[in-house]
Amino acid sequence: MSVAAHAEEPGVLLRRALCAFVAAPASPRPLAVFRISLSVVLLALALCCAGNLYDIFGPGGFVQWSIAESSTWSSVPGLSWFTTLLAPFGLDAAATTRAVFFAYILGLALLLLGWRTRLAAFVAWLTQQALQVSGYFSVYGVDHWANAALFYCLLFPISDAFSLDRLAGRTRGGPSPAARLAIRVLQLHLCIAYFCSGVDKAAGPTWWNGEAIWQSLHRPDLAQFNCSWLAQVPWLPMLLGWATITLEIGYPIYVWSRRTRRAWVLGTVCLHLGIAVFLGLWSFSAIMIVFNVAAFLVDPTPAVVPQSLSPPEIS
Amino acid sequence: MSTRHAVWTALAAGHLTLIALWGSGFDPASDSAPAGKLLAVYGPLSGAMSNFGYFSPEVGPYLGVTFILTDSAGFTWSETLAQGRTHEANVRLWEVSAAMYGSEAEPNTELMRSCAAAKLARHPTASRVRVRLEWHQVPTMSGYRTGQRPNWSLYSECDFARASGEAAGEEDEGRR
Repeated sequence: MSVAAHAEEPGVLLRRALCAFVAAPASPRPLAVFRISLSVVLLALALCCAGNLYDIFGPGGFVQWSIAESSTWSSVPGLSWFTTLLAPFGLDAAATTRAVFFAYILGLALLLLGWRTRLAAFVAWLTQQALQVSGYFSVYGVDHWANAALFYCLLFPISDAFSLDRLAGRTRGGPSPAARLAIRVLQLHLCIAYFCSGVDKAAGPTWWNGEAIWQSLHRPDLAQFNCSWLAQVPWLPMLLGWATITLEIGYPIYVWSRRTRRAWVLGTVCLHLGIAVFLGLWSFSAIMIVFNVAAFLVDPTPAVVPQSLSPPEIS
Repeated sequence: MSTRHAVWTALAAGHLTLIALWGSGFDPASDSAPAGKLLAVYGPLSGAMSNFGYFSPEVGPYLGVTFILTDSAGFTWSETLAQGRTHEANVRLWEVSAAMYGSEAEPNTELMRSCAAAKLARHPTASRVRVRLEWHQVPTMSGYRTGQRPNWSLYSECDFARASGEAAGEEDEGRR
């Protein structure tokens, strides 16, 4: 068999494509955008909760620690564990809550700057977990995505661009296969999430007949405007329901084509902006937009591919 | 591809497989074998354990909570749970009120008692508190066109009184 014929074999082509998919060097810029915008969103979110820190997470909060911490699945210790740990230093439960929350803010601030990024990500991830455990009943969608994002920050090469670590020479910088793999994980995570969410919605009748849109716009905890006029134009919520299902189920298909990617991601960003404006879920929408922009809208094509990092050879 | 990168790729594939399994409603951590226990630890730590079922397959009704406080002179006033300083804080407190739904027959009285105790702690003059849980029912669009309007219906209510000499509330009477 000739060399040319061997190269045409489907198995070899597939393997080469898979290698390029996960290992072709990518610019670290998308991951830097992810790190910076994530930190900004989580800092804003934390500051919004600071005024009710004790109500939500504190020892005298609406849900006692013993109830919250026995209800969660997480194996990370909650604030009661930190209280026991810090008691010898004279910190009571309220002071420990403040200390852990301050450590969370500090971790996010350092993550934003990219200074000792890995350590900062670890502090932010650990303290976010502890706050989630002790505030278990106040946790919602944004916290699950924040949890996943901070876990990724522990592992991804997020400080290879736009960071103080890069300026100090503590990271190598430049395009890398690790950056490509990290971007693929973000992209595939989004594809799975939207597809599952879309299929779940499509399983019931209310997203098809528009009732889900109507009901969500009239819940007292979500409603931002009086939208009762929608009852006179039922085709509009029905159209919005169809659009939501189409965007979500179509996401893992249309984001991979160059021709449809930008339109599809922008459509999804508009979906989240709609959720923010009409349902008041600003933080959830913001973190989803961060994921979408970093994963699909920031170009990962390296300006110059170092010779040592050229597309991988296969044996 | 280097061996190191191949290992990371395999780990990433495993992580994404878990996300897909949890996202599709299959729980690989439900197995009591060591692997299942390990996944039950890994899922929450990594954020992979999520079903992504936001507002699906339908948007459920809102469960509102009202605290009706009474002092020793018989003066009564009411408060809600969501009196946070920001909208974001209120979103979290609404999550707490939603969690007070236990089952169709019974509310989560442990959570109601905890919130009642917190309210009594914030109001030293109050001697008792009634926690009222109500569903906010929104009619369908066709129902709305025929004149139906959103309304509240009682789900459950419990009375809690301050235990003598203690700061925490104690359940005095509960009824649905």
